[in-house]
Amino acid sequence: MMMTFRPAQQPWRFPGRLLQDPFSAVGAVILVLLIAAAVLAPVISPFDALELRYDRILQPPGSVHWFGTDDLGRDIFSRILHGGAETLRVSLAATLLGVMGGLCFGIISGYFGGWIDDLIQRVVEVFLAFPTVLLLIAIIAVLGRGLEVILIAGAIATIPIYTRLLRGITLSVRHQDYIVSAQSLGAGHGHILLHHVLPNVLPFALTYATLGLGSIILATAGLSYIGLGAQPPSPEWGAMLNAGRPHIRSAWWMSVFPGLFIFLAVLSVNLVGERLRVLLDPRNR
Amino acid sequence: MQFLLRRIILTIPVLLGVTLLTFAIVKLTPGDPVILMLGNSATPERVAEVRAQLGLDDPLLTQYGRYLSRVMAGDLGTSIRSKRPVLDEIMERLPGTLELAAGALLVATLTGIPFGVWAAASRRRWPGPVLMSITIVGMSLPSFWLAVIALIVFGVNLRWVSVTGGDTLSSLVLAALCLGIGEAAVLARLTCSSMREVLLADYIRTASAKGLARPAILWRHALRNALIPLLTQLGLLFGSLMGGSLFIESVFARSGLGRYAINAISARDLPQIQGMVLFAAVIYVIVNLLVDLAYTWADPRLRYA
Repeated sequence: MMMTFRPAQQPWRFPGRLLQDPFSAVGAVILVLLIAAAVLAPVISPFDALELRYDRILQPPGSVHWFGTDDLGRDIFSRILHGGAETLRVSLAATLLGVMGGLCFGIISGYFGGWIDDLIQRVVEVFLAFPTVLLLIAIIAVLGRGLEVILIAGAIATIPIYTRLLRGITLSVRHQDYIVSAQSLGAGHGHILLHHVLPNVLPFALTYATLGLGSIILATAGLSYIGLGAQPPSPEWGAMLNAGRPHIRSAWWMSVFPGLFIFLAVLSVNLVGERLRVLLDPRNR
Repeated sequence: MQFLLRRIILTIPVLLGVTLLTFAIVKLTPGDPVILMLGNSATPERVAEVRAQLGLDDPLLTQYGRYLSRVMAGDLGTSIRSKRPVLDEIMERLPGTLELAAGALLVATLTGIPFGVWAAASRRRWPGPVLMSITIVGMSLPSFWLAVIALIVFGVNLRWVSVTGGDTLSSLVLAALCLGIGEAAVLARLTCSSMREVLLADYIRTASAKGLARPAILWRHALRNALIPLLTQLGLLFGSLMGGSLFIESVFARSGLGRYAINAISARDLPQIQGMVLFAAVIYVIVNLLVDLAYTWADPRLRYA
């Protein structure tokens, strides 16, 4: 089964094909809204995300504070808008670093083969011997807790996964006619990798990255929820959920709304990723 | 037979690599482990004495060799906080995590597989596509948020479970449900895609041609073959259940390895962290090995490959 994909032929049709499917269209719209809200948070949020106001502690959702206020009197809606910048920034950066590392190692491993391939794959196997969350914890144990640590840990923990996946794609690309003819015309390895292998592997890398982004968002928020990621007073969504723990009897809104946004972010990414996966699968054309 | 032998031998370098990484955890962690152990008030002489005692001045390779032989003998070190062997502490907490993982696995298989069969059987008509979208929703639900909501609904409002959690049966059921739903969604998707492939096979067409009832084709002929490739995913499923228990145990205040790991990191108890990571990784490697062996047992063709 040959898996090839030529975005270069009709790149303008791609967003259209993404939006053809109602589910992925909904996902794309939610994702764009969440990112826009995170970027514009300082402008559009009705209240300050960090200002303590002891005169309005634990107010239930209402017309002034849409999502209520927390135990320190901060507006939860404003905090969620600001928190998106934290959660999404770290998850996106970790995924981007992870997939770029995976692209480098995966393409080199698959294209050159031989001892380089063996060496890279043995190291990858050792890393894959750890469940991802365990690897994240081990890295946090070394580097200490914090949101930036999760960024680095997320990248390190996912590089082996992307390396393994993209090596497979590179292997299927490597022996195709256009690569062989480039080689017989005397093109250098650098030229072939950059102009022939990379453009064909890239769509798969993007799809895997989109599918992986959801898990990284869950991990970022989850680790912050158990206190290993963002620390107070950060409005990171998982950290907000953590702050709601002592108040689950009296203030459900402190737990429900931050979690809802984690869910929406993961859902939107998964809906888009699923559509990308279907578009890439030659059996669905 | 040759395949089995090869597969078993190949885990040895992986396990060695795993010990190398867990050894590196302690070596890479900033701060002097001796001072961490003795406290800041220790005199420099005492620190030097303990350093020599623990062999921390030896070459790294010697230290790794000593660590390896210690680990092979089942000694995962001694906790700084509790002064107890880490392996004992892990063994005490293992049942709690296994209970939770087993419960979640039960939830995942009992709901995920039938759901996947249904989705595959109705894939070109209603409700197939809708079912697949439901699985995406299931996959996207943060288990820890679901758990918090379950606590609010069933603990605070309905008072069926204790909000403070603990190791009760009702909180175990709720925890297993919250952890299992995401895995059920993943399993449903895998079942569906595996079933779709099997349903195209000639023996399925033969079965329908000879007039066999649709349920018999789906559940007896197709599912049995569709489950074989699913076996390979069991190891991954186990890994994500282990990861998920980290968050869920914390919500329900259950005792288990997840909370043990969180406490170990908070207290910077390096032997606990190192022992816990090594233990979990070794279990994960063994489970994946067993899964591969089960796979060759379920599909005899592989034994000749």
